[in-house]
Amino acid sequence: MFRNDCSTAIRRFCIMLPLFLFAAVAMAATPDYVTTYNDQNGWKLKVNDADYFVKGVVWGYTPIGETYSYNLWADSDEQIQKVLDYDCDLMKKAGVNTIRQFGNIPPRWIQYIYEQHGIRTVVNHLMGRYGYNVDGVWYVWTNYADDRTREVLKNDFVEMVKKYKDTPGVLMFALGNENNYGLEWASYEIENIPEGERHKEKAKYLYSLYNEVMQEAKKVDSNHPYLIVNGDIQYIDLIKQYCTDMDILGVNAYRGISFTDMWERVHDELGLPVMLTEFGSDAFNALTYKEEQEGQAALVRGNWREIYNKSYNKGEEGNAIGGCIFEWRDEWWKYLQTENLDIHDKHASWSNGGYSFDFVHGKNNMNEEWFGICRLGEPNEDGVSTATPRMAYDVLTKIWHIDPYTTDKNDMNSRIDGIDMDFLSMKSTLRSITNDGVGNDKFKLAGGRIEGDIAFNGKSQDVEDDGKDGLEFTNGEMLFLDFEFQPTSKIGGQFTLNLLGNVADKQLEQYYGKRGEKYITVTSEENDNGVTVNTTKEITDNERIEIYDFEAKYEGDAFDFTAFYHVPRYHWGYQGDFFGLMHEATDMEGMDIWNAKAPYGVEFEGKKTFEGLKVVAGPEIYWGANPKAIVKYQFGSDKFQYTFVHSEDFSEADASATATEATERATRQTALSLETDFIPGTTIQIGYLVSGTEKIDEDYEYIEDGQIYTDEIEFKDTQAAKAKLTLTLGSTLIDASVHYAGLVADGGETLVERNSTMPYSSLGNKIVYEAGMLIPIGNLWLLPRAMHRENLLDAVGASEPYTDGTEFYPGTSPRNRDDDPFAVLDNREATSGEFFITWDPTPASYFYNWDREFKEDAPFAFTFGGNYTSYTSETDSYLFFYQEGHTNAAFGKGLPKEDVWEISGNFIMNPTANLRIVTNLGVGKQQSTGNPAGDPAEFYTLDAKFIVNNKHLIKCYVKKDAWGPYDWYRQFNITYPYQYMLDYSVLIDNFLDEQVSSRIGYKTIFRTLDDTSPTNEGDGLNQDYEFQTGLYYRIDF
Amino acid sequence: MKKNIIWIAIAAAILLIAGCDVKNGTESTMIDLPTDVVLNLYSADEGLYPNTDILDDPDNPYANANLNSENVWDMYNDCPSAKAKFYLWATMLARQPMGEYQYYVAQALHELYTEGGSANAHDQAIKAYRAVLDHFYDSVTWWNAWWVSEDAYYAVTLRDMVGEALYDPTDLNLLSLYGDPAEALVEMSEWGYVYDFESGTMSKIQ
Repeated sequence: MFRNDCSTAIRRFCIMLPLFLFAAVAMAATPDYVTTYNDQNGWKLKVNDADYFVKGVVWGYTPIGETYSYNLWADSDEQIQKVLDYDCDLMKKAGVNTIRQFGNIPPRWIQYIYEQHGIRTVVNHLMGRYGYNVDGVWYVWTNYADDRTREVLKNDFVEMVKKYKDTPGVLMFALGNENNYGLEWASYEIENIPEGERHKEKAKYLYSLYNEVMQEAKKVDSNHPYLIVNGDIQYIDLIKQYCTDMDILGVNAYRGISFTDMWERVHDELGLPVMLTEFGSDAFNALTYKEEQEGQAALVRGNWREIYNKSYNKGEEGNAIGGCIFEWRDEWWKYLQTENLDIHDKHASWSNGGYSFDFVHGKNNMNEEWFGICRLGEPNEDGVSTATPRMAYDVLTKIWHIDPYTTDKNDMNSRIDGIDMDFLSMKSTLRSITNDGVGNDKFKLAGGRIEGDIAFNGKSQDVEDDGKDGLEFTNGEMLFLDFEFQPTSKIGGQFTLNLLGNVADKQLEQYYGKRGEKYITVTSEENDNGVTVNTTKEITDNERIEIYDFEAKYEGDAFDFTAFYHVPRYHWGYQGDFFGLMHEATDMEGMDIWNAKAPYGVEFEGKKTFEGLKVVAGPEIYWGANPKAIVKYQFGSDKFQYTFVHSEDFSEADASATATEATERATRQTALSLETDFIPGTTIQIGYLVSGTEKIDEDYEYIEDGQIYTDEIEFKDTQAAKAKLTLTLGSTLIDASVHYAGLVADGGETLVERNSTMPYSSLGNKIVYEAGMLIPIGNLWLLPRAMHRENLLDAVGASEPYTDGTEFYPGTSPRNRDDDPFAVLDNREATSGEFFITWDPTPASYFYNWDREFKEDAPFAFTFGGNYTSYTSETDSYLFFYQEGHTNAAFGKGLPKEDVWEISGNFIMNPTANLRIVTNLGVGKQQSTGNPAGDPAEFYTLDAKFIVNNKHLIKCYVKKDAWGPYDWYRQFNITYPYQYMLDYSVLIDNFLDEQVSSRIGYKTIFRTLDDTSPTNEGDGLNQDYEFQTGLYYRIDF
Repeated sequence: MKKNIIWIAIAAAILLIAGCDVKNGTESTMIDLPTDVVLNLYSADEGLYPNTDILDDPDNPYANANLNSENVWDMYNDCPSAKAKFYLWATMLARQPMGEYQYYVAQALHELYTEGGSANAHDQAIKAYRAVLDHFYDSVTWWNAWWVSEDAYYAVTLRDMVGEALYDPTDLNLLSLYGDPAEALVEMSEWGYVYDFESGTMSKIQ
């Protein structure tokens, strides 16, 4: 019996094996032939003539800490394979047969997913939904009426089809993603139409383009169907009218548990099959402020039940061919998009009454970061961000294992209705308990890190005199503990504690933790004999624990209120603050080395009645700010935005923001500005500022024709006006501006775009003319820019006083900003020009983002160019903060006239997925920013960073005749003949990025000394040197 | 309409400031130094640390002068009057609070009183001497030890010099600020100081 069975089995195996191999090879090598089928019972999708019901998910992979620009496909093949295997295994178990993927997935990975896991892909071109690059220019709002834009989109889509059409596993091609909701471009013709009709007119351009694209694409590939991804069924009449070559209507629908009349309307008005390209529910209850797996699961069950019932031969419309639920796993970047990327944000950002489990009128209930049917988790041992199934996954697993084409309707519904939701709820609860990251904690330790180092310091003289005994050994340790709290649904926040062990005394670096350095105190007391006795004491336990940062936010109906302490905050340059009164405070590392605690304050942000109102106040609301409050109110229409900003200092800061940066006198500023784009393609900004009115009646001197004059500040000297025009001519972006500022009409930070190196200044006493262009030639950008600045009054040079009998000639001394109402400093007369070229073939990762060295994913991208500036007048005297005296002091003399220049370049290379190289070079001649003594520095710098296999991080630099590494070196004009640095570290959890990975490293700094180096560091001989070397570690947990 | 008003306001403001002429100051290349003996005080504590009203006093010819610790001695030597000296030293005191400058403010006032009998100078000189004791008790000035070398200096405590000037300024060629030296001793003791006229030293009352 056994032998019989065995031989039968072997025979069957021998017969089946070649068939199986043939089928496998055939499947592996052949693209699918995908069609739609229609008869009186409805519609079906057929793949290679077999029925295919789309059981899909919108799939994406964005790890914690990353945002939309993250590109999995730039990773190593090994890592991509691990990610795909992990996710596809889970999807396959659930019964997923389709994923919808946006744009850039390489064909070979579509084939891999299909061949290894049997899952097909809907390839989706976004068609400019979130802006588009036309001839090198990025347009935030894609203009579908523009001929060139239409041509580019059409060509790009057709090229995409050519690229994918022969790829096994491609199911269909999709166009757009709710583009009907993004018809915001401005155009001459359409603006005159009443507002309600404008978008409909624009939609005609969109749908006619869609059809042109599909027509062209079908000439290239007719083996796959084409669908548009529409926001619900808005403009279905236009779709019917224009999209005559469309095969399937794709709909993103968030109507709640039922799609209501959608099926019927499409059936009656369009007569095409429907695939739901997005639908689903978030898994967060905005009312209870807790994860709500049951609500999500119940809703998606209802959705799929309806889809099944609307499919072929169920006696209803019969036009459902399946859908892709939104989405596979949570995306933590969705809210705010570039902020709080490592926080699973609970902010409900829009309202939808269809989601009854947490809907209340007037309140948002849709939590963008919680739509996954799986939770997003930390990387596992393979470096793959985990996907922990939610209850919805379990429910869908049961539904997706039902074939609607072969299952009787009653049986199908009975099986769906019979899903034991209580059991699955309990299962998901248990799963939650065993997993980290449950979002219900009122207070929790969220993580932390341990850092430490062991270092040696040395100087040439000490080493020569004492050999190895001339070296100083030092070590330090510190611990960071991150806490999160969410006591109520409206209040939440986080804070970090820092605990110091030893504090290292590294001589060549500034670093966080120096607050705990030991110091000596001296106390004087008289003894019994009346003799004063000094007692010294070494303090070694100073400030061992401190709050490193803190943020708490109340989110109310009428306003949000935030308390912040040393957390990054952004400028308001894109929120109407035309004069830049609110500075950005994001350089946390820069602040840390001086133990600065900015930004520090509270913020009120109005909603509803108070919409547009923002108030920020505090001891240091940005780095270096005096204690102050800033009020901003924005109002107007879409076309005309007005902004009022008032900034009021309460007092002067009592200490420098760094070690030597001068404090500024308390002042006030009031600005009113207008921004309008009522002329399509053109933005006009006009602003008026009154600044420094507290200086009215203060005396100042100026020199004219060799004579000294004395005058007083008047109201007219406090006023400034600025106008800027930005327009697009073809693909070229042009801006031009003029800025007049009275003697004391200081503004704020100039909004610097595309890394311009122009010598901007926040100070008044100037007339500035500036113009720049962005000329795109494909992926190459040319960026010329020029500026000319004149002063209303020049600097006052130094001349000695003298007396002749009873006549006194008082002479002059350079002004400074403490003793005089204004001074000519970095606002001095200048003529400046720059020219840069930028090459970036992957504009999605914008090259000018601050984090380009981490995020730029092009094989090769760079910016290179130079600036030449002629300072045709000298300055007054800069100030510095004199720590011992706890006051500002003047350098006493101004910087002379000088022509300066700098050539700089930044190059980022990703030659393979396992190697990343970032280099910066600089060559130039520049002046000090304070001390007039000494010559301008003529320097050369080169730094580089290599990341090999996401594991080995090598950083190094070489500098010749450059200033030391911190701002005060330039302020005091301190240079070194040569500076070298080498830093090698091993990233321990190598799949995390370099910014957050644990590591062990070795770092050496070496520099030679000469007479321009600080006098206390050597004997002024060129062969002198100093160095620091040691090991360091950082363990994240 | 609201939009138009804002547009017009901004445009008007721009036009307003575009037409501004910032150069309408008063020439101050040369200033006449005072040679009279009348002292009008800009404020009650003018010339007394920590008051800095001297810098705002329109009569002060040195208010905006390029003075520093080096050239002030040349300016002092060239001063044509005691009143000019007062403004000179008071200006230096306001810019760089030092006992030495406070003492020379007092001495200049004392000299002004001696020259013209100004009651203001008399009263302000006493206040200035007291300010040396109250605020710069340990301060010194440096006198040239010419008998050693031209560049040799030795320290002299200002408080002792204050004692001498108040108790008996005849060696300084100045009029006494008190009718009787004993009155000076009494007033100094009321301030909390004891001047030993025999040893010429000042001390604090414990």
